[in-house]
Amino acid sequence: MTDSDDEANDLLINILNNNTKNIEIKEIKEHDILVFQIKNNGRKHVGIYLGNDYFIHQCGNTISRKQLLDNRWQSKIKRAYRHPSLV
Amino acid sequence: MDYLTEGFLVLTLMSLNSFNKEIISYSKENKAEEICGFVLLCPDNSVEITKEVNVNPDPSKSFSISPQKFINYSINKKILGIYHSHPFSDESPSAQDILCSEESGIPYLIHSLQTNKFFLYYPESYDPAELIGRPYVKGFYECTCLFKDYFLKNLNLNITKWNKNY
Repeated sequence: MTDSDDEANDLLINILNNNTKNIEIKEIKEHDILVFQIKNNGRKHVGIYLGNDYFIHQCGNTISRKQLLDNRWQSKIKRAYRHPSLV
Repeated sequence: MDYLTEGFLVLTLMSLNSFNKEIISYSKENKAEEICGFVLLCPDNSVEITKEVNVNPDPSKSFSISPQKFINYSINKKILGIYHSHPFSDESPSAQDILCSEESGIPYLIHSLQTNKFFLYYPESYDPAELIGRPYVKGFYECTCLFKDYFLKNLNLNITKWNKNY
């Protein structure tokens, strides 16, 4: 009944791989999708880059927010994706 | 209907919320008919479910809620979704479920007593809430929902139909 975090993460990555373009992290621009690894257990987190070093996201049990993509968050980015219409 | 081949995206939720567990219990207490109610976001950002009377003439096959209930709950709370059970079929939304969800613009959360799984149907007519300042509600307000809603609100791109089968 309840699926594991690993299954959910794999599904999310598969969905992004199948529907968006994987891009280099150093090339991110507004509207790009950022996938973070926030814990060592492999759990993934998703945010959207807003440009000018800000992104929007919602972590578990917190309010959704616009936040500075500082060094701490940058170090957690594992993948970046772009919608096909924005390529 | 195969939602993957129909272009729907299915995401698996990671765990059940307490309100999911309440719905399961409620379903199991009423195995002969469809149970129903609202998933509500309260002013203090807590989530609650209501247990409504199924006023449909054939409650074993369908459900109906008094329209007055929609008005009552909309005054001080936000209706995040409408839940109901499928006692004798799987969790996939029926044609009637899809029609009603589209007409109301409200997501439908469906629990199957046969599979003990949920399906969260997001209608095309869904109007996302503001992106910033949402409390965390699994299935309704979480990072993947924000991602989907961002594209819809800011770019008018309905990139997915995030039906969640969990």
